[in-house]
Amino acid sequence: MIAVPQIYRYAHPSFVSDDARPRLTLCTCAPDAGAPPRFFEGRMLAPRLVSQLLTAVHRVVGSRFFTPANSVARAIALADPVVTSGGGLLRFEGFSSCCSTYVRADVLPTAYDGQVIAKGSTNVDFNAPMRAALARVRDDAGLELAVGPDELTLRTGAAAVTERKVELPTRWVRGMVEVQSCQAAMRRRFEVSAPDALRFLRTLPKASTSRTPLWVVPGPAGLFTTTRASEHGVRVTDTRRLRVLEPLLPRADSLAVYADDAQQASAWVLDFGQARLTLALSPEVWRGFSGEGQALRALLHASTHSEALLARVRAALSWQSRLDAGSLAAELALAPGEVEDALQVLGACGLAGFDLADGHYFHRVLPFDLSGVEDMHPRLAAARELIAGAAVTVLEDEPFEATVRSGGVLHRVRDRAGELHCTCPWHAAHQGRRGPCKHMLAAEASRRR
Amino acid sequence: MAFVPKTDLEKAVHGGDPDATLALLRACTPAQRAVERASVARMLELANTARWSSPPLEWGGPPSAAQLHAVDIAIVLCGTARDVAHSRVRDEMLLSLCHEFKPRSLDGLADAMLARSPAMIRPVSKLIAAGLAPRPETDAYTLGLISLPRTLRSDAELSALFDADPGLRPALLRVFDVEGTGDVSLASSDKYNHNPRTDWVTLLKSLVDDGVATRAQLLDRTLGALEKDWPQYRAGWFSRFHGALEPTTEELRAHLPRYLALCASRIAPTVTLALEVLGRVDAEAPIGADDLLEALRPVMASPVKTQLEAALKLLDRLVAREPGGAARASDVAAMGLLHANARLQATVLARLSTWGVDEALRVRLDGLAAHVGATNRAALQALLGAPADVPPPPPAAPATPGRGPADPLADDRRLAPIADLPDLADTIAHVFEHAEDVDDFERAIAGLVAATPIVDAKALFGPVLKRAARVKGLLPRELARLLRFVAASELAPGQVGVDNGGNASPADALLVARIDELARSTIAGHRLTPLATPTHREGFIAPVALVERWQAHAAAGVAPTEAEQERALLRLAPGAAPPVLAAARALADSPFVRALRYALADDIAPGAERRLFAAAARIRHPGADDAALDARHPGLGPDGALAARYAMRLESRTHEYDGKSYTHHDVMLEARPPCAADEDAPLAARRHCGQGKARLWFRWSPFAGIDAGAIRHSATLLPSDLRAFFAEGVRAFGNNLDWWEAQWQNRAYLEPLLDPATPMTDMANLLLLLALCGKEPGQTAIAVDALVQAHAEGRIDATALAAALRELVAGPLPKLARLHKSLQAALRADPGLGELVFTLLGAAVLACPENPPRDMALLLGLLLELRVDGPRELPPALRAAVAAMKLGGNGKAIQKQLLQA
Repeated sequence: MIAVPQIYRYAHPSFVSDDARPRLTLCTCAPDAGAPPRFFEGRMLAPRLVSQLLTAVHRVVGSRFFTPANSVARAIALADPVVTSGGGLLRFEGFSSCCSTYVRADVLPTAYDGQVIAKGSTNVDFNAPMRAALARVRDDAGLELAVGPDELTLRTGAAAVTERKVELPTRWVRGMVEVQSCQAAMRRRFEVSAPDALRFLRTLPKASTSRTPLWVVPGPAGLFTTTRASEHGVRVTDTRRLRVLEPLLPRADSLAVYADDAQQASAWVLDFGQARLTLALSPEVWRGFSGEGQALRALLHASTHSEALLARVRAALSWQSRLDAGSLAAELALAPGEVEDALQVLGACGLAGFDLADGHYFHRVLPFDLSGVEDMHPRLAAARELIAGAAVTVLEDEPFEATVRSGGVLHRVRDRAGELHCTCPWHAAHQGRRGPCKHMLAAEASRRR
Repeated sequence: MAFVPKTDLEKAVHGGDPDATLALLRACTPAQRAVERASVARMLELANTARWSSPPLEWGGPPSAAQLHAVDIAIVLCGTARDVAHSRVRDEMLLSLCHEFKPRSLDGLADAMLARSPAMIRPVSKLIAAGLAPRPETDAYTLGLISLPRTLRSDAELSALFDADPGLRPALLRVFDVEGTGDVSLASSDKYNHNPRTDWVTLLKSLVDDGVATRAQLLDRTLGALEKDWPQYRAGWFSRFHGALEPTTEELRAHLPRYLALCASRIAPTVTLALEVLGRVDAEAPIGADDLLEALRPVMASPVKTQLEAALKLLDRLVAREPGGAARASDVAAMGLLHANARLQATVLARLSTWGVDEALRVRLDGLAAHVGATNRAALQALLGAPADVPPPPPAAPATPGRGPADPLADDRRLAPIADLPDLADTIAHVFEHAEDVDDFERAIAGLVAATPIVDAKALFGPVLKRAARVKGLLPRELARLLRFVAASELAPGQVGVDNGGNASPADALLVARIDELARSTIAGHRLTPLATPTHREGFIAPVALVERWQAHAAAGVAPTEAEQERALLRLAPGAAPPVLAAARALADSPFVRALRYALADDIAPGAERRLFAAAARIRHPGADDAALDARHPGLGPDGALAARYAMRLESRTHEYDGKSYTHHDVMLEARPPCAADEDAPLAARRHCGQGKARLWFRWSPFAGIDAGAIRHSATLLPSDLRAFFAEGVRAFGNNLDWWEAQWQNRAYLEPLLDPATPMTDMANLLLLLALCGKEPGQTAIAVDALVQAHAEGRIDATALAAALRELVAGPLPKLARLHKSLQAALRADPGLGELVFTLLGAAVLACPENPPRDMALLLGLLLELRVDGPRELPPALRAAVAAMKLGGNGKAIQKQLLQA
């Protein structure tokens, strides 16, 4: 399947009322033919900040940082943002149409004075007039927020239901799901003050640097960029993607930057005290967030050994804003390591998000129908095919060596100095930076057997 | 197979009889016409294909006008809306047919046409005007409207459209609602529309003149578009349109909340517009303090200097009329200290000093102190009343006396030989995916040759053999060729890159020839490491290894080709310990051994073998002349007996276009002594000689071509002297400073500058400086790294680099703003570069003080910062040069500060 059909059904467009005290009504998407959920009613304590955060999400969703050759450069917002209400937090997530940038705004309980009516995840309508109105929001005028349809509009039938059908490319859906696994593998590399971060962003070139990876490194004179790999730095391509942070920095307290050990994807987290904005960047603009090694291995293991365990952990989820493996393990009488693996798998299936600042998963269900998408993890599917086809022959257990017949060729997977290598072009090109190839996955799984 | 018409309709169409076609279809019912659709669609496709394809033609030949007319009739009457939208039916015929028949293709035709291209707005408009199609409400229609002025052939046509469709002009207001695309937007429409009578500003203003819309509507919609924060290129049109509307102050004030909100726009021209409006409105009747302060807060964090200046003026006025608001004004203004411009920071500090700072602001200012320029620190400290939390000035440049280029034969640069056959397979796989990894390429070819014959090679190398058929890039291709010969006894001919001028890349040809030689050498199965295989990174061969290798070849009775011998000599690392020379002397005499001894500085005379001894001379006298060899073999060319020397000059050409004058400067870099017209010239000399009619500045170098791997590999030809290599880089960069052409491969010239073993020669310096002035940010970033790293490693000769910069700045080539940015980036990476950058800036100033180039003020500003930060004194000559400069504005103020004691 190359696309996932998605229907967005809204009782009315989201809007900002023109009253003396502005009210933002974010209309939620009704699942099937049911009533649209209502998640929240309240007053924002930092109206301008919340407006800017929502604007940032909308901006990323409508952005396209890479256009393939011979394609029309239309910035189509493929999918509406996803709102999640759980544990008192309101989270708004979005993904760029080029699949290279993920954004999430977290509005913490200290940012509002209101009532969480329900928990859950769904899409929410963002539109240009709403965004234009958000630009006019001021702190002293205040801002009421309703996440859910406007009752008055519903009662009076003042607006017609809008229904929009979108074909979400599988690649896009896959990226939106897998970015959580990528974040789970990241660790904090450095943190700087907001003024330092703003000064640094201004030094970045305005033109695209997608062809030249840069490392952002903390130095004696502040952050700087270099083309040399640095163990203290974070690798970034096309720094234009960071521009969305610029207007927010004057209000932020700090910027923390995370990256995985393979130095591929990175995440930039602005902390405002009452809220956070997370911006995750894929390794290259022309590709999204590929399968992170641990998640693929965990998925493969789960599918063969621990489906029941997975089901138990899944059943224990109820929109918690923080999924603590230790607590869940105690609750379910499981080992914490097993719960962590299960959470990793659930994250890779769109059933949990990862909060970098908090360092934990949170329960969130992406509102896409993934059931028909068999190739959510193509590498995994290919590895399973190899196993099923008895393509793997283990030659040695220690050090490990196996052959894998694939594509009419006999590939060799072997352990060199504690790391697995494969003779396939994919591994030769990426050298493990993008996780294991299908041959390595199949060989490892065969070893376990 | 040729198309054979079977039905009456097909015969009529293929026979080119439009009247018969029409008559036949007139006699059909709509259902019957629908049945014909597949056949007609096929005929349309065949006819269209026949227009462009060469024989054989299924259609039977190029389609005649009559045939096309007939098939157009048929597709309109039998096809769907999509069929018609993708055909080339003339507007008049389409209208006539639709009017008479109301065919099914009419249903959704407007949408189908606009989905195909906004440029189809013309026929769509005619359909609407004729009442044959409803006016779409879609964004695609709006994009079509935007395209309208450029799709029309004349003003008269536009007027006729308006007359025929009275609803069209009011519909034009929809153009405010749609962002547009990369190809279709109001900005691009007006940019490329040279008819001022049909540009969008004129069209929209005419709506007001003719009562179709009001000024209020236009202004409201313009603001609505600006509020949507569309990308700058498209939003800029609306800013300009706003100016063209010339709104009165009353009109502006009516929308004051919107202008205040626009100050937070991320689009710079929108913010500038908003500030201009606020300035006008405020001048007539003051804007409320709360509103103004809230609006200006984000502006003070803007990177645009003029915006901050405008905001500060508004704050001045506010404080003047409401002194009680001074503290709040200070709080807002403080963010301006984040701007990099020192003079702007000074104006902010002056205001803070006048308006006062409270304790909370003092804490904030302390947090901003690290960003305040050196020239403003005293003012900040005065405000804070205590020393600011500023990091101490960086230490002076690290003293690394005597440290210079690293030893190219250091242990950590040694190339590990291939361990075993699986390692060889892995290495080959790696090179296939990393086309610029020269070291592993050499390891792989050496490993293949040394391992051949290989038992069961096909099975062992199965994965890479499969991949070998599809690899790209010179190095992977050549490795693949060798692999296929070794494993499958197939030697395909090598491919040599050819540039636009028809010149084959000599570097490619040399490598192809080498691979052919090595392939042949494996036939005998001696399993010898090729003579010219590097032992260390970047192509170096350790002398002791070469001696041992020659011994091994001699023991096996194998004589490497003269070309391989020459290559091996050129790759020698200069200088050798006495034991190595002794070992060389102990070898059986041969021309190669004599040349080897010559290279190792043995006391022997150059022999008759000009190529071998020319190669040896480059090692014996790296970068210098070999008088003895020149006497024995005169006229070998640059880097033969005599080291190449370079002279750079610019050839400028100017042309006029559209009233503007454009000047291009071509960088010519000529090597001396002149090239010999000699096909058997020494290898090192051949790098300098163009081929045939190739111009020396031709954008694709006559030697290394455009493959990045080939360029990197060409540096291994003579790794101990990279001047010729860097000279090619100078040509490449110098002729593409403004990135007129995307020459991504040129970064390959910069990468050796990052190698600790690379000496910074004259050509290396020149290349570095040009790259620092380049436009492409990725390549400039490499250059900055090279400057930082070379300085840290003690490879930079500040005097030589400064002299090169002075000469460069004296010409028209470099843009000083880019140089300024690069030097700032270098200082951020390593504040210890202060002294070197100070020296370089001084050299730039000294280049032509009587006629300072554009943006000299930027360099002077940085010079001032470094002077204060050091602190450093201006040398007398530099002081005199600064004093002699005639500058205005900012530059003058900086000049004054620089000259203060």
